[in-house]
Amino acid sequence: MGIGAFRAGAGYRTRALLYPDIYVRRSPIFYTVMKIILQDQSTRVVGDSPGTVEELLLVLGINPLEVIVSRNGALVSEHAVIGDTDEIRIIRIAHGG
Amino acid sequence: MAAPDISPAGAPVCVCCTEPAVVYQWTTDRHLCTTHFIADIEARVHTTIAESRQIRAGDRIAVAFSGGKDSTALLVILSRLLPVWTDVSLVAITVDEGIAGYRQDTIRVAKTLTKKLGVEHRIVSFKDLIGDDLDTILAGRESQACTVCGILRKKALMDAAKEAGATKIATGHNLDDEAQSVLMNTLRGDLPRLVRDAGKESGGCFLPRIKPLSGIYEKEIASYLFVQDLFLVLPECPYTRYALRAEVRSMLSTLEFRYPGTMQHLIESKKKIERYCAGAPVMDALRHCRECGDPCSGEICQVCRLRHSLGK
Repeated sequence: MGIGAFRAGAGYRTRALLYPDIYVRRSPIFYTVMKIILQDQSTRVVGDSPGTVEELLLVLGINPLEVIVSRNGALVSEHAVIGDTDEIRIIRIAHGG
Repeated sequence: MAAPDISPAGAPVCVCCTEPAVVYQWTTDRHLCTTHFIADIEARVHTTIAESRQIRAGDRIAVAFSGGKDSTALLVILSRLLPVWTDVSLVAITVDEGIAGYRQDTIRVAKTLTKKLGVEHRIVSFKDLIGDDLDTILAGRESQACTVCGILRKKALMDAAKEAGATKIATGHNLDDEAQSVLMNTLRGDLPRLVRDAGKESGGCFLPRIKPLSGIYEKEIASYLFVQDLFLVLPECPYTRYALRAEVRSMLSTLEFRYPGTMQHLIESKKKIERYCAGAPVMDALRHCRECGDPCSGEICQVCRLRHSLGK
């Protein structure tokens, strides 16, 4: 399954409602949960096979040059592979200082 | 881009060692770990300073220090590079414009960092300069926010730097800021501003301004601070949305992502135009304001013109 799975489908939404904080998709193909903290501090939980940080940002409509991204608290480059139980934080580079 | 080596942790590996990379430098196609990234940034800033001889022995550098990310990175890097130069000192100057819900946080951060770095810190305010804070001045004229703030901030900074005995002012303008300025001046057809070199000596009229971070991308600055636990999520200036710069920033950032190196190309174009214009009468002759005596290009300087429009 590719990065397109970040776009939550109906099945995903149902499962995410049942397990709002930590959602583990149990399938013979993969077992992944990823918590994404967006720039406005809102949180999304998505299940997907590994993709890169850049792919995630593009799916979310975010220009990778306008944010920095941490995985489990540590900075990662756009080409880091993310997935599993990673907590991904997307931090907007604030302007005007 | 060549496919990077990926560590077991799912991160590309640093080009200089075997540690996981924390950043990707898209113009040079390099992945770097924390240690090599910090060293790379500091070395590039040092090169920028050395190539254009921005700092010389005996200089006292006033660092325009808002407490935001760019000026924080500038102060940290300059304080680390300080032993490289002979008899050079730093003084951090913070201008409190008086923007509710915005500046208080950055001033608090500024005080903490200067104390930690052992750098002298001075705070000046618009209220001291003109009698009102920016919010009061801008009531009903928010669309002019950046122009008004820019004029007053420059004056406040210049006065404070002179009072502190500084020989130069260092600002945290980064590569993105510089490219945005080139495009904005081009869009406005403002050739004099495009080729103006604020770093030049001006016979004692202005303190020369230096921009040591002008070769570093904004994203690199944020990353530099983050890996050292110095990156703080601070509020954005509420007036930013009124500025042409906000639109130019977004447009250029998209172009840079799609066509890496766009921002550097813009800056290189500006440098070429500067060379073509060298010696040409592009700029108005420097005069002195008939009211306050400050150097300016017209009869009255922008600060006095602003005072009049505010009835001060």
